[in-house]
Amino acid sequence: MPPLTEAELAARLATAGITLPQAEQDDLRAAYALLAPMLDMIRQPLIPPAAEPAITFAAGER
Amino acid sequence: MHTIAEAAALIAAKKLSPVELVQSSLARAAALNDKIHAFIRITPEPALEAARAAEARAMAGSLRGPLDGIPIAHKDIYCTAGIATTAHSAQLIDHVPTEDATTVRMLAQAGVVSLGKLATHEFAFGGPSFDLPWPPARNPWDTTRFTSGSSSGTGAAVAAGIIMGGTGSDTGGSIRGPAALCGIAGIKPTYGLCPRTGILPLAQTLDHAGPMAWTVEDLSFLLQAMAGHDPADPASASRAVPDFHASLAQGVRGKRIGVIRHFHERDNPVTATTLRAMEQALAVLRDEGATVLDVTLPPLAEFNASGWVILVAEAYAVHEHWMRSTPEKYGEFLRHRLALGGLLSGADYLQAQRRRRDLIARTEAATAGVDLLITAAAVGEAPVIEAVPKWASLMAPNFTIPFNLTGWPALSVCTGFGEGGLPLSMQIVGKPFDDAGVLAAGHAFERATGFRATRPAI
Repeated sequence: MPPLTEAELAARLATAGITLPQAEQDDLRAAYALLAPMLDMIRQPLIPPAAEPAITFAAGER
Repeated sequence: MHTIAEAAALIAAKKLSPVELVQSSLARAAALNDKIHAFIRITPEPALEAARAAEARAMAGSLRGPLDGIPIAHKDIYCTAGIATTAHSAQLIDHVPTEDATTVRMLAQAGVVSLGKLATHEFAFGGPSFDLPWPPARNPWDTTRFTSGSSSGTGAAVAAGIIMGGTGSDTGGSIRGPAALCGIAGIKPTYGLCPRTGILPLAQTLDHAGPMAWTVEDLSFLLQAMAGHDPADPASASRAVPDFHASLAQGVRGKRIGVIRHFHERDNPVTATTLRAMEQALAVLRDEGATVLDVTLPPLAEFNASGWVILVAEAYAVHEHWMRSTPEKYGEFLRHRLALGGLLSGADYLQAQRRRRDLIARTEAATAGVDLLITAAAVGEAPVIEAVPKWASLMAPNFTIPFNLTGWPALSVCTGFGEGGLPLSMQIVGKPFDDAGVLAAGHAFERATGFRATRPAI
């Protein structure tokens, strides 16, 4: 995932309904640059099809 | 200073008064709190009332068990009826719950005496923060140092000998981190073992409730009281709870222990002193009868990536209303961490959960031949509190989050002291619902070493 531009960050914050001062937006953009490689890492290597978020019906004894 | 085991024996023998014990703990809290800021609220009146009730039971020979009359305290995300529960945040500055969290009630039924509410990183996530209604907790071994978090007040108060145990929560390491840096014992139990009803959530698929104490033996008493089925918690497991204290005697003889060496030697290298202490700890476990071998799990960074994406996405969902309406009431640390979650897409979250399934399957396969796992709990000794980077968790993977993803039980124990005189640590990890085996290993290690004899000189 590439780093976010100022405009992209502002758009995403607006979509989420979050209002932050400009200085804090800059800090957040720097943090997103650290998170972006993680967004790549959760996708590579390819996730096996069996790894689906299945619903289970009870927690406890098998 | 007594451990819970020691105090319980003295109370049962009518040689220690619960009232005098609690008075002494309250006095120590009053004397030390300005230095370590472990408590954000001390509640002497209900504490002394509970202590008098425990003393009456002691005198009548009707004690409820080893926790009766024992002073503890609760992390301030555990709801307490009639006592403010703020999550260390201005968002909840006036929040007074009408009901106790399930685990608060269970511990009270076991007879514990709560001295009050303990500092936490804001909503168990953002810290250390210096712009909140209360200052962050400080490490009793050196008050210029970080406690780690988020169960920072519990770590500090137990290490300082104010309380004998306390409650914590662990979403990415928030019990094990403070236990490690404060030199105490803390267990993140198996996901589903301890009810979370009435505990303010951070990220529900990763949130665990659990105890912290000076020794592993003391953890066994606290975990006994906190474990059990709660139909109000959707993740709560419906299964018999073993006798954790009785299980301590099993030790590690005949156990196969896998060392996840690549986590702490290559994926996020620990300090030389931490590594040396871990090697000495492994030698102790061999001497206690365990077989020690290396195991290879997926890279730590893969766990960290999945864990962080899930954590910030779920945390944002929990806090979405306030992030839209009153974001200025959060400290800067938490506001920014939550905002990061607001930037993610639905696909990001779903892929992280799918990766989590994959990581669990790979971890199960890699550990099929061992009973327990060992890796680091922290890189080294506690850093200076003001020097903790705001985004430290994004800069280097942490050793604790893999077991929030898997839900496996994980314990932090003290492995000695570093060059700065501060505690070192390691994690002992077990298979799902083998919390008793994890505690038994930790107890065997503590009994074979002398690290529990050294307390911070505060």
